[in-house]
Amino acid sequence: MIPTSWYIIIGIFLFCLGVFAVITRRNTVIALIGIELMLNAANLNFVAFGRMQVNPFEGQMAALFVIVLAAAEVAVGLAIVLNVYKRYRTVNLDEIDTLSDE
Amino acid sequence: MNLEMIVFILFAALTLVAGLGVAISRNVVYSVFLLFVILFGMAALYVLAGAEFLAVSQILIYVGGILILLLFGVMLTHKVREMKPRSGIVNLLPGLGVAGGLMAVLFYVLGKANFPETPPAPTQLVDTKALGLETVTHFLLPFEVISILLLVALIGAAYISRKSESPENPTS
Repeated sequence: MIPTSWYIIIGIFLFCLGVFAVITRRNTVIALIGIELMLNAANLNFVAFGRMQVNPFEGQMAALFVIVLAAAEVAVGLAIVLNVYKRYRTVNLDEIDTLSDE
Repeated sequence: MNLEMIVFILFAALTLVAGLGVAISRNVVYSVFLLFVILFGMAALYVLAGAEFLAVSQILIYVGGILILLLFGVMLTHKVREMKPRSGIVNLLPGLGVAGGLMAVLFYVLGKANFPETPPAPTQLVDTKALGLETVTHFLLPFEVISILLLVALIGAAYISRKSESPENPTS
């Protein structure tokens, strides 16, 4: 059996890479990819800790639900991104600042 | 160090290298395709954790659905003539600070945490049939709720991204 902490370490690295991508990139699609990385890292933790539960299904079911939520999130997020692009002709997060106080 | 661990390390290294590529690659299309590598690596890690159905779902939903959506997103939001969907790196220091600080905190918590390293031997076989039975018995309510949520989200996404009827006001 693989030690649980190995999974947790991979999850930590993936989560931090996702945070780094969201903070340092100005492209909306890459921000969405960063969020996917974070969701995947959380999923890895669910699966790893689910192995030591009394009910062995709980971790995997939670991970499945997270995958479904990620699909819904990406669908709505990309619809919003397409609308933003139609309006501003850019997906650079720094240039979409109509609501900001100049 | 047995064969299982070596395979795990190989796939984990693949996933992490691809993750680093996603975070620093300047080409948006490269980032999307490296996400593909990450998702396959994660599916392999799920298999090693005994979650085969989850691995297959991961490949079907993420690679078959989400990745295609992301590629469409890149395609529709960059001018085809330019052929250079680039995205530079900004906020490098704050990004490194936040991500590094978060990583330090998480490793500190992992070092303090107290849990058994190897899980107990499974009392029940977690195969796809058992997982399906569990879905429609113990997890019936979350299953129904999430199916309604998915339906609502997809209808909402289709509504938001529809073509506008009036050409004068294209964003309504």
